[in-house]
Amino acid sequence: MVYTRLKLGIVLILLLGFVPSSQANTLELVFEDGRSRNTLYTLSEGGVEYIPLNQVVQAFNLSRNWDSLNGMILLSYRGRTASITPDQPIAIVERRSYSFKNSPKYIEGILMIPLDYVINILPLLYDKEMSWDSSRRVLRIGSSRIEIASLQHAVYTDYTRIVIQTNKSIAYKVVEKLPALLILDLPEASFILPNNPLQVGSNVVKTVKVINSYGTTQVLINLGEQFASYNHFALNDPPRIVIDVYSTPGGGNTARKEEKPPLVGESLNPLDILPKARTPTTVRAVIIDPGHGGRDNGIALGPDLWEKDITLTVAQKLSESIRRRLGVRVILTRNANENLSPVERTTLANSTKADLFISLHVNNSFSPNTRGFEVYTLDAPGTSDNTNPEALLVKASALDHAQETYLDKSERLANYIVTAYNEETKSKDARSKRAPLLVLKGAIMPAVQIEMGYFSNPVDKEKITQEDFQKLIVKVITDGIINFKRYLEQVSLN
Amino acid sequence: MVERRWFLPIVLVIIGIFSLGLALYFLYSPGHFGSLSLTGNETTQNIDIRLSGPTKKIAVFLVTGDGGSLTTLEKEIPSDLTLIEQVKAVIQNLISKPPEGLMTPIPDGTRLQSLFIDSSGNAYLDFSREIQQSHIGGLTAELLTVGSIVNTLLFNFKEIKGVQLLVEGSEIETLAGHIDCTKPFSQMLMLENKT
Repeated sequence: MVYTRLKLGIVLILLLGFVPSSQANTLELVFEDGRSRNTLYTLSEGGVEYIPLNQVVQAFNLSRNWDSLNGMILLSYRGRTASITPDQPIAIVERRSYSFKNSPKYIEGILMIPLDYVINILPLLYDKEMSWDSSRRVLRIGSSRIEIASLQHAVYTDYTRIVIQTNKSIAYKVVEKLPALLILDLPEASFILPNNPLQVGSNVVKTVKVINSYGTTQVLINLGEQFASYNHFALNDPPRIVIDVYSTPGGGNTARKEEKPPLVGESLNPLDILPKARTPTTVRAVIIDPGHGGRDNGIALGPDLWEKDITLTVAQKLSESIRRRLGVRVILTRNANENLSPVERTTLANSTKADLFISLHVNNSFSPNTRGFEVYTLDAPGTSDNTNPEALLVKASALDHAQETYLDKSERLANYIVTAYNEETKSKDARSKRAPLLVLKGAIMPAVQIEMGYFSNPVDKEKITQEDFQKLIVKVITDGIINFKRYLEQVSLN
Repeated sequence: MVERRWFLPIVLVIIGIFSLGLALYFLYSPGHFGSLSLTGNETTQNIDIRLSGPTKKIAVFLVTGDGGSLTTLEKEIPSDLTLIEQVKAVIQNLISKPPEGLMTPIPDGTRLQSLFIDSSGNAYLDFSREIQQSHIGGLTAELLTVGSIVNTLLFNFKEIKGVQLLVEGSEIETLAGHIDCTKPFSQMLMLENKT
């Protein structure tokens, strides 16, 4: 790689020597998916910036063919082609002709591509989004283009639900052609759907069809005779658009009918917001979350010592202990002074498919009298049942109810850790408690938050920074996990 | 030179209009409430809680001397106030200095900037940034702060079905990194041990 860059650099320096009034420059290519960077060398001539074709082919992983019949070069990417014709500012991409500002041209025998070809024509060929930041000279290659992953439906007694799952969250617009048709306008998306058009055949929806139309993608919902009203909303994880079509007026504002099983159609989740529950039968992987981090310091424990530092130290020691004593995989949500929101921590835990989630913190209160080691599980008094159902649907996320399935096991884990602490210290200093903790709410695994001691209490405060106490904490948490693992394995055997 | 004489007053008038516009914007611009659709009332004025007329008893939730739980303290507020004014008066009581042996979990300098109650009975309390920036941190302290506000409102006003805390006009994930503040609390937060 270094050798190639050097070579290109030397070629450009040589070119500069031969071409009067030319100027060399670079631009950065940032692939956000793979987090890789690439530097492209450019050459300016007559106010136009060019990049050697070889560099473009290599950087974008394209293949190149010479079309001798038409005197053009064909660049290909995953079956799509775009043409380059020297001295002509025209490209043919997928049988359509596009013009751009400056022609590709040979400079000292090397075919050079103008920058505006890269910015404007390559995105038509490539399946990723691109954005050019001219001030920083960075071309960002983003995530994959929008794709419709599936089209599903479910028929209930008084409404029909259509779910359009996409690979990422997208903006959409509903156009009414009542009483016959609802059209969902989406940005241009690709789709290979085996059930397109979808035959629904309910009293409110006849068919659903996805089509491409002049640079946009449309979902056409053919309405049935008893159509009265509809409601729509977007959900995440996975990203999807939900359209409920009702046979009663104002159907969107009625109670949460979603909890009834569908009469016809694919099996949709109740409420369509719950992630799939897993039943752990043993412990194969543990995720440890050192509380706070980055700009969120947590409690100030002393001069230049913060809660975020202690939680990371203990998490690293705990990680080593669990690996050594249980032989299982251990992941840390952060291994440095990094800022993560509670939701990002939970999402990370869920994506690693860990079997246990342990968040580490230091506690604090308004008086020095409260002390002790506390293990918290989720309490969810905050899920407001009185909230208007429509608002609830819009605001609810897939993570809102995720932990509820695992509460029994989370409490068992908490009790094992508390017992291990009290036995080890021959005290009753440890206790289990509940609180509406954001970091636990979305975890699809048994999950606890451990408050190692109170900074506001002089005894706890002194102990928290001591290595012996940290060793004790690490030991009792590991003991608790070992006992919990045994319990899971016994239950699964029975 | 004649043209220049006209030029100066015109510039001054433009500057004047611009300054007036800026002043009006900063005086009357409402807080930013994101995507919340709110109906109901708002007040930014302080309520006179001196008790000259008829009064009603209310209970505010304050921190006990051991710093581990909440307890109620009886107070009185004028009874001839609107609901919004009563809530405002109750919060003022909660923030004010408590008697010996009790503590307020609301950080010094915190102000209730505005208050909305929507048609579902959810009260949205917009506090100044001190409630977050001057907070001592820690789960128990955070639970006590959130709990004192939520419990005080749910306990005293049957019209209020949920309480959500906002800071400087915006929704917050948590106050100090732990407690889920993304939705209205519809039940009082209890702090007693479960074991």
